[in-house]
Amino acid sequence: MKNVQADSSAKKGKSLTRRRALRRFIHNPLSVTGLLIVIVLMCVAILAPVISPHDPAAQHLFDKRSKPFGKYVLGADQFGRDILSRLIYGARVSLFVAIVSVLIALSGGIIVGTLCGYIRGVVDAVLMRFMDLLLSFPYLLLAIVMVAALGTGTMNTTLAIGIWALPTFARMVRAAVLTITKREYITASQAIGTPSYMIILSHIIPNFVSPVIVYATLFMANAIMIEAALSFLGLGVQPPTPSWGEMISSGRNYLMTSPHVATTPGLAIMLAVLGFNLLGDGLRDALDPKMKVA
Amino acid sequence: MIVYLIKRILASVGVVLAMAFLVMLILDLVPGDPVVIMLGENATEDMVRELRRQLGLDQPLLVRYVQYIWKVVQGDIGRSVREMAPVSKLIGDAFPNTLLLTACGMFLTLLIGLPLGLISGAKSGSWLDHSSRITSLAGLCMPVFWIGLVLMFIFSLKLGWFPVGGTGSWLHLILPSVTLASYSVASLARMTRSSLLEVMGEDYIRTARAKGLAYRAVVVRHAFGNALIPIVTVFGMQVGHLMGGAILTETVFAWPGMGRLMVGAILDRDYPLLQGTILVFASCYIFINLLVDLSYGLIDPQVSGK
Repeated sequence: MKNVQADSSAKKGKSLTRRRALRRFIHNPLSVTGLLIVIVLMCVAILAPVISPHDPAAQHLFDKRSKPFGKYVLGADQFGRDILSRLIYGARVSLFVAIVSVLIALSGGIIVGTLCGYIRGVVDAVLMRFMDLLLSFPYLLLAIVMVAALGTGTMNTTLAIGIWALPTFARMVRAAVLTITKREYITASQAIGTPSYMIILSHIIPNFVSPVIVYATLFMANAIMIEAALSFLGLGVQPPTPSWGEMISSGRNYLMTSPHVATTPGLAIMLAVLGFNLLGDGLRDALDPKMKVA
Repeated sequence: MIVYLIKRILASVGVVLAMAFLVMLILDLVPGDPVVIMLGENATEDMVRELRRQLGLDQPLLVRYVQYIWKVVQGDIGRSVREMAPVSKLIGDAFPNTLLLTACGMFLTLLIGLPLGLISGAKSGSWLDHSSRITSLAGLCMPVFWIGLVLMFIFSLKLGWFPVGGTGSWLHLILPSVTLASYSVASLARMTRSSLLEVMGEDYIRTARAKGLAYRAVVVRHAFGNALIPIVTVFGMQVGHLMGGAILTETVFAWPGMGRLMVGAILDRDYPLLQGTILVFASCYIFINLLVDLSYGLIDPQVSGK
């Protein structure tokens, strides 16, 4: 009887903290703005074929580099393709790369981090040294090396960004696992003979979910930025696939006469990065005000 | 302290060696024969064999690695396949340009980012704070290469104040440095603000205020010194960002530096050149991080005691 009571009060406590977190989130206008931007972007990406006014690949040769607010809302590019439609389809590419690379980094990071933190010993030392090594590449350089090896294209870019981010997740998860395994309830659980994988699944993983969610959200912003950067350099998503970074790169030759071709995709990148950054900051403040994510 | 210094330097050399191996390993995993790709479809069997021998690609990975490191120690980092020149010469020409650009970026970051964050943190809640926070948030969300293009459009193409690209005079330097610094300025300003705000909540700050010290003196003398460690850490991280940003900025402004060399090397599959540029980039980054780590000892006596 006593047990049941304790259990239900624990559940109540949990739902209370959850409700508090939700309240903190909703009362912060910046986080709600971020959430709205992200939702709108997702909808745009999913509904791209329905909402885009033109075929993003169709070349209207008479309308080459036509000005915005004419026949096309945001004008046309150097091949006479509708910029708005290309931006809409570009959202698909950007979000795809960001989401899949986050999933790669997340699953890899959780596996490596949990293994290292729980098993310790040689596995931990070797794997973490390797992660440190990956982390000591300057920004963008590891992704560039990966692309140099894998080749360009959407899938390779995604993989490169995922591998680039994996060590950070692994480190974070490992640190969380280390602090959790020191707690008494883990020792108690081990003492009554619970198998390791059960302890990992039911006690350890749920405990680092919130910092990982926060970091994953903030990382989405990074992934979008890096995808754009790689595509801008010609090392990422390749034409004719519409990608924001590639659009800026190909439009820069017409900067003098038609600045809108190169500059509008930058606004899209900025909006997407802003959305994920605000959402991530909001989630952090709501889930754990004391937590620090660089 | 000297033991610590030697240990840290040795560790850094170790990381550079491991990195060189990792880069070689990754490039070894390239699907397809790099030599065939370099020479094109029409290469004869003999040409392929000859180039492979020249590049030493007929040797096992470990042997190649040891040979490579041995040559690097002697100052030879191979010959570029495309340019038909020693990699060291190409890098020697490009490196000062990148160094100049990155140094200007760092200088601007400190010159603008630090005061911006300090004012923002010291006067939190004021309109100055709000406007500086909005500016830095915008700075964090704009892609570096896009900022470069917008600046180029406004100041070079429309106003004609600065040249469009290339090097030559100090005028050529301004737009690329501002572009490069934009992200780091925003990032440093944010970190300085939050670090300062955190310190301002400490007891000794209240004591300093209570004993009648002027607010400005408290911020400068008590708070800033204690807020410095996280600020220096972020600044060290920004160096990596600046190097990555340099690759993009150089591409925008046709700046003949390491970044353009590297991107060109990837697009042309010029592996000796690519390896050399990566090695130089990574070593610089590790060296600067070493300096940052050592500077902790100067800022905080507790660190050097460890």
